[in-house]
Amino acid sequence: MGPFRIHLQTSLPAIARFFRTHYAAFPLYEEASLADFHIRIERPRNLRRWIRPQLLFFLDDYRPFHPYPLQMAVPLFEWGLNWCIAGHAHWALLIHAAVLEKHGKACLLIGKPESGKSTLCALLMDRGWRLLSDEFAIVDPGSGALLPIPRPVSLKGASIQVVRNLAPRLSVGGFCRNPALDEEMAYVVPPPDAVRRMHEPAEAGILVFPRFQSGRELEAAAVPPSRAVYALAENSFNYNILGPEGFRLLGLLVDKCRALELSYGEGTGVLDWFDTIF
Amino acid sequence: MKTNRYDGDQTVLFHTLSGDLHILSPIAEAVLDILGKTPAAAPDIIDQVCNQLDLQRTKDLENQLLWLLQEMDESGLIERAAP
Amino acid sequence: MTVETLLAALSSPRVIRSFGEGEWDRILRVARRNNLLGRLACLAEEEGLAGGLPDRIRRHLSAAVRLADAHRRAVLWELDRIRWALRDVSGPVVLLKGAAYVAEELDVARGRLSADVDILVRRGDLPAVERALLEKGWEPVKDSAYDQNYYRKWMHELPPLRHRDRGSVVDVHHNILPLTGRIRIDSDLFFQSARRSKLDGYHVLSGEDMVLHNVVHLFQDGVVTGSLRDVVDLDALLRRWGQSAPFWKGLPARAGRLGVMRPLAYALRVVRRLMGTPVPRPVLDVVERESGAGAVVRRFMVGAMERALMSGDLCGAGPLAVLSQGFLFVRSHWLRMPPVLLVRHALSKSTRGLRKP
Repeated sequence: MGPFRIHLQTSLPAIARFFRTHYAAFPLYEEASLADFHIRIERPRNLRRWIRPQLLFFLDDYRPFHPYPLQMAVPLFEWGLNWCIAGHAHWALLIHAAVLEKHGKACLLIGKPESGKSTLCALLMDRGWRLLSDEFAIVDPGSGALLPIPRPVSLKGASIQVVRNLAPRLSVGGFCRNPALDEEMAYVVPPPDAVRRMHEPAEAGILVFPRFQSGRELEAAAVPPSRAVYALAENSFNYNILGPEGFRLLGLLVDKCRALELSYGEGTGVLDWFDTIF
Repeated sequence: MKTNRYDGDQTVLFHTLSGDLHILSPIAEAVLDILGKTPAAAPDIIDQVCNQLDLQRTKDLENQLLWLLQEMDESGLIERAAP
Repeated sequence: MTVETLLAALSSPRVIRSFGEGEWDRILRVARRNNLLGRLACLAEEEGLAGGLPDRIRRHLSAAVRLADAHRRAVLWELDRIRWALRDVSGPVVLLKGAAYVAEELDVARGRLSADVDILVRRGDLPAVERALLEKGWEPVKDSAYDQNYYRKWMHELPPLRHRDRGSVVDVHHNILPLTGRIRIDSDLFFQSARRSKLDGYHVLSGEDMVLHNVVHLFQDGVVTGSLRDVVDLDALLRRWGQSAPFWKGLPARAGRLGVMRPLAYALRVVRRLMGTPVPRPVLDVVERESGAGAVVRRFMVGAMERALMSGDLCGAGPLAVLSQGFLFVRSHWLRMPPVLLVRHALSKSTRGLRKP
């Protein structure tokens, strides 16, 4: 998947199904060796195998999470893989952002989960933007370019219906209910074209900080470079691990890109706005 | 040793020792600039900052500066030498 | 066994040139599991061996080097803040273990992934030290599993103190040998041999005491309480201090004085066998003779200890990998906007449902 090779062992049909639908376009390798992450997702051998059944996620022999309910198999895999990447891929600078490319330039959507960036990501994908990632901006330390990892786009709650309404061509699956938040979750299948081009990096062109608010008028405000550097650092998984080099890469990004805070409400006006940025 | 980044009206400072990011106001920058050369006593610093930035030396400003110096001491950006 | 290959690679990094893909895959995972990936990666980088490797492998090594460097920076920052907090405390502060290795820029510090700081102070200074740290933002680790009174009375340290904002932990000791009741060691002995650290405001143990502290952490009462990483550390410490002849003369004598001859005897055997550490034969003889453990018992113990230490292989049940990066990963984060003048920032990224280390 992009720069990573995953070795997954699991006996769960739900995950196998998810792989067939959502990872169909990704190459499969014969050898399990030299995977970046050896992941196992299994049911425990104790009572929790049957009573309020649970799932365990392992990276090699390490179990980073508490057990998850069985119905959360797919999110457990996706979040677990996110954790593996965020916790180990310190050869690159990792920023919590959705990344899409058009006309040779990449747009980063940076913000908290409720900012609407995943919804925007899915809708822009439908409009022809090439998906690089809905979760990680992977900044190559040598070139400063963004490396793709076009995995399924995660949607929660109301955004699932929004995406199905506005982008009916997209394939949405992997449904489940998160009992903790009483919220539905689903995943959009990444476009085969994005997957096919997953080894094509992209130059960063613009940093967008989306802020969704119901009823809000569309407004794009410039973010001064100092605030942009700070905000990127805040949203970086491993900036503190990369230290001085992380700071240098952030500076490069901010030098290269315009930074805008985008406030928007319902309606497709925001998607039209994205057409104008490059 | 610190790595700086200058933009517009605010500098973002990467403090190498702590790995912390600081957004510096012109006043904080002036303090670092002054202390970067030689250590100085608080009243002295206040004087120089007012001169450099052309500020009126009010009681309020003095208090704020003293508080700032303490903040910067706690952040490790500067250090209070023996009293 | 992959662990053996790993140890061979740590002793002679050049062997990694001959590794195939499958071997790399296993070595990386076993190294990570035994908290030795940082060291392997640093050695590979320093000997210029990373260049010819496939991208995928180079990235893992590069990530490990960066992570180790982040830990080193974190330790130095912690030491700076502790020194700052203890400015007005007059007694000596002796750095122990990883913090000492980093402060003295010893080879053993390379690739270590630990950001906890252990310090030794005089018993009489404990109240002042505790007060100063609590005042500057540290607080006792809240853990229902331990009892503060127990800690103060029977262990040789205060309860661990965690910094409110940074999340880093400092362990304050007033003695460094287990008080098992057999021999009460006057901690003054350690202060007498301690010397000034390269780092302002601190002292460090003598080379002999550093080694013996490692040994005591590795084996207690004939049981393995340390890890493979501790054996690797011991090898590095012995190679460093063992460059001077007086060290080898002083080590057995010191061990006798501190009553730790037996653990030293086991440790020297184990580290020689696992890492090929050059321990002079006469020293080994003296230590083993003085330890009072007969040859048969010793062989048995050493065998059992090696098995315990090597259990972190891929196929074994093994110890859980120590992801001490957790400290850096979930470092506390806040954005303060004070009225006028300064904004400060420190970082965190916390993930849903993450277990506490």
